[in-house]
Amino acid sequence: MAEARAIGVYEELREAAGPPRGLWSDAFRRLIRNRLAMAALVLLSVLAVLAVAGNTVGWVQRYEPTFQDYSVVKTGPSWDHFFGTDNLGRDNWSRVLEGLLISLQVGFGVQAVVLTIGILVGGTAALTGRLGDNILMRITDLTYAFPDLLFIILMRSVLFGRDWPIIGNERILVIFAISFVSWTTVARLVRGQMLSLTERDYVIAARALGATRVRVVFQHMLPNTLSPVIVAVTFGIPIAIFAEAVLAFIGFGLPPPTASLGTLVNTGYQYIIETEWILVFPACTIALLMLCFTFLGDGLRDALDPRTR
Amino acid sequence: MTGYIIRRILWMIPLLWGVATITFFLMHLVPGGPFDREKELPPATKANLEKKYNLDDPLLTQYVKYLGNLVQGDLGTSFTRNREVRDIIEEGFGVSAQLGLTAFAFAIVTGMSLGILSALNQNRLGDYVGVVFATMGASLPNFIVATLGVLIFSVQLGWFDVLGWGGPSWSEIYNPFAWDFRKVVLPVLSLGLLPSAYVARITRASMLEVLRQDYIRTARAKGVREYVVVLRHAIKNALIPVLTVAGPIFAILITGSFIVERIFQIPGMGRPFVDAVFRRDYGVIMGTTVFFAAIVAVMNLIVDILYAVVDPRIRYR
Repeated sequence: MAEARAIGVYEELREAAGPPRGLWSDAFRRLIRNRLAMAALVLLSVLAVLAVAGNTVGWVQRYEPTFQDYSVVKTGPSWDHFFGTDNLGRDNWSRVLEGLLISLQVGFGVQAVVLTIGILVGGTAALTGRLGDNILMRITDLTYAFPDLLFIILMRSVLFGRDWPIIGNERILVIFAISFVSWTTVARLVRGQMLSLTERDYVIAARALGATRVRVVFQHMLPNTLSPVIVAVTFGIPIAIFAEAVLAFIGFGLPPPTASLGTLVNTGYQYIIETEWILVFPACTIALLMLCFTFLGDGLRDALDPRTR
Repeated sequence: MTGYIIRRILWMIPLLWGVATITFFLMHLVPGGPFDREKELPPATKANLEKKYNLDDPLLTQYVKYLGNLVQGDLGTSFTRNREVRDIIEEGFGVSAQLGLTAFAFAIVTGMSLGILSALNQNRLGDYVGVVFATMGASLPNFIVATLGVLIFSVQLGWFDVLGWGGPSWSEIYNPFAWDFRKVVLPVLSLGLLPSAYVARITRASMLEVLRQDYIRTARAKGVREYVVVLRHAIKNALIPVLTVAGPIFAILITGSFIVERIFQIPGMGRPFVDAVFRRDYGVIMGTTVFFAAIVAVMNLIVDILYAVVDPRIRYR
């Protein structure tokens, strides 16, 4: 009797809890419930659509970012020019949209490279035994020891001004220059996770069941290193966006007339006495981008690792 | 512990050698040389100049010579300024260090105070103020704070000056009247806001953690006054996670000061380095990179040692 009742209660509880959920769908539910993170995600999607449309669709862009109209120089916002015009009579709306697209491309591009290098280096270090681990981690330490900005400036100068095969776009060079100093965090994270995972019961169990090494690594270990890596990558995006903006701001970014947000802030700062509009819009765009990615990163961290709450 | 410190110091030698080597070869990979001008120099002049600075040697010879000099503390000469790199760094770094350390102090003091206040008022008004500050501040990069700060506080309100640095000479550093606050406030705020937000976040989280511990309840239960509980029992233990980020923050401040210096026309290390990369002034590029790498390495070591001092559970082997 008691047994049957216990089963009944169990069935009831199971029904109440709904179908069984995995780690990822659980995390996804937690993320959706986080209003701030969802607001950030929606805003970022709007910005991304705006950035893409603003560089491809004529009626969103309205003016060519390089088109100079000397009859309207340094004007404030108006219906003709939403964000006003700059010192050469170029439309700031279309230039900010170009900068926005560059920022997003650099943000995601850098993280793609960082993820590749980081997982490769970190994973190899964790799995190849002591010698490989030592060598790779010393290289990581060495990269970490470079003062970031100095090294990015140097790398950027090395990469620019040559004829590269395949790479046609200078944005990719900026992405590489920033990536070369940024991969250490992910590499260390992956290595640490992997090392701790090799001792876990389920990994030992998989090995005991006769799973091949490749299968153990890709099926059991890599997915379990992912959640801290996803968080690190999300927080890495605003850092990369910031790095690009700084490079452009001090004149080491994409060559003019390309309108990176950093370049626009620099131009705005030069004419700060005459008009504040050239500065305000790109500066606020950068701040908004970074704010959204920070909120999203916070949300992801809370969702993927509930213990840190 | 002593063994650990010695090993860490010894490890700095190959580390700095690596930084010097990589920088040296990267730098020579940058297209163009120090004496390339838009208007070509006469070949004889160029050859003489290159001979003067040993640039006509094969790259490896230059490298070995450079390392030899570096070991003896000789950082070489700047081609474009015709001065010892050492002097340029000494002069510029004094200013950069003042700016950086002031911002560091600002970041730690405001960040920790806000973090502690937040944690003590969890889920009340004070907490929301702290959390909003911590999140907003963390997404405001230094050059945005700096340029918008200049716009609002200097151009519109006229509160602050924006040209130059108002710090005193090092001997007068503790005399508040020697500081020109009209010139100091904005740069320090621009540089220190983001790290202070970061510190506030970490302090809040770690204080909340500590305040839940049994020993805090014990202290309260035996009738210790609340401020003593906070000051003596809680803050001390909440400090540890803050210390871990002190190293990275220091690194952020060092490179961040390059940008802030540029905006406020502060004569620190930022300008010489950026100019040097534009002009391929090899000596200054090398000197600055190696010097800064050394400083960051030393700082990280100090932080790790402090870590063990503050938290006796940590044992280095």
